[in-house]
Amino acid sequence: MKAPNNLKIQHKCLECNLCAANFFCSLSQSALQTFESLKITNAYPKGATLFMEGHPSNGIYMLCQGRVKLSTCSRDGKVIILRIAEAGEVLGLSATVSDLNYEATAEVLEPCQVNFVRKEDFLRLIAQNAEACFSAIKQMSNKYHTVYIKVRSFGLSHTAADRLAKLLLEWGKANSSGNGGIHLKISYTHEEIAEMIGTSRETVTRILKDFKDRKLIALKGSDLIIHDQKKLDATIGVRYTGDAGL
Amino acid sequence: MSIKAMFEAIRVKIKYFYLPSADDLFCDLTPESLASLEKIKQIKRLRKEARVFSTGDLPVGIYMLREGRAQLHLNDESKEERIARLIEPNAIFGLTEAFANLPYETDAETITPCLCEFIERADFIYFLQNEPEVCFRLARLLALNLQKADRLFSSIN
Repeated sequence: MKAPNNLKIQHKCLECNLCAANFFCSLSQSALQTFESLKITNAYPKGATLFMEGHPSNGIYMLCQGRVKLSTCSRDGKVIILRIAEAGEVLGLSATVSDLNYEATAEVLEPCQVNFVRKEDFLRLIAQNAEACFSAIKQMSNKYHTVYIKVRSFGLSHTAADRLAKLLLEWGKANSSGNGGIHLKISYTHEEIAEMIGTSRETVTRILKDFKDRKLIALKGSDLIIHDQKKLDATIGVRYTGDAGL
Repeated sequence: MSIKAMFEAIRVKIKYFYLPSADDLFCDLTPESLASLEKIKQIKRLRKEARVFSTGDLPVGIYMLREGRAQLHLNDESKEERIARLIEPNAIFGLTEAFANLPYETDAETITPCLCEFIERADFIYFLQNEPEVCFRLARLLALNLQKADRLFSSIN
């Protein structure tokens, strides 16, 4: 198999050096051996669709490397990004375990390696192997926790400006420099950011310009600098007369 | 939609965050399994308006409400908005946090005097390791819950 973008494919789970502690496949040797016997390894280029929202689930997609966008469509046809899945996540897990349709569309953002396991095989695996079942429970609990945070963060925000500020602060949590400043490499388009916070591309562009004018952030290409987290945080919930997000 | 209407809509929708019931999880247990479950349960009597856990606390175990009524609050620190989810008798709460081993995102508070059963996280995990069927049932419940949560998030947005 020729891998896209020189992706180094790891075929053998037992010899895999990609696996970290938070990965679904961080299992004992015997459980991993069973998983390996069931999985089918595939590599996908950027833009490929792994599964579509509303389609019956046919199995799980263990994301070994790369990033995948999970999005859904609202009743009025608006695209909403649920999350960006990173390596180690199992995609289509809740749909497969609950035997329902996929709840989102999974689109490859970066070339990725995926280990696919058919639904029947996966259900048998977790029914018979407590360790694998545990790992699945942990994955779902983590995702559920993330949704809770998002509901609190975005569901209780009055304006798109609040939601964008919260999103930037969330991204910045892992990149804080300690003096209140944050340097971020933004790999998303304004359109994608808009889909994450439920607004339009134009509004995102306007709010970012507004933040820049108020010296809360600086923008240079894909680099975004939050000068002072506290200052940006303090804008949340506060109505600003020039607030573009209202 | 006005802000007031939006918040009302969220309040209604948040009720769909399903809390599994003890019956869903522990039905059809063998007498031996039931005995080992009873062994790890601790009984807690809580007064009215007692705090069971707070946002930011690290999970220590799972709770099953036996008598009384309690509430989950989802807080927004910046504006002190609160969303309530009623906990009815037999519901299990604090479950996902216990598995994710991440701080609570809600406050749990009793409304009336309550009788609660509590199982320590490590004891519950050990119990599940020996009960693959309960483990599988729990996975199914969480999967359904996660699907609902995703739908809730997209409807809020």
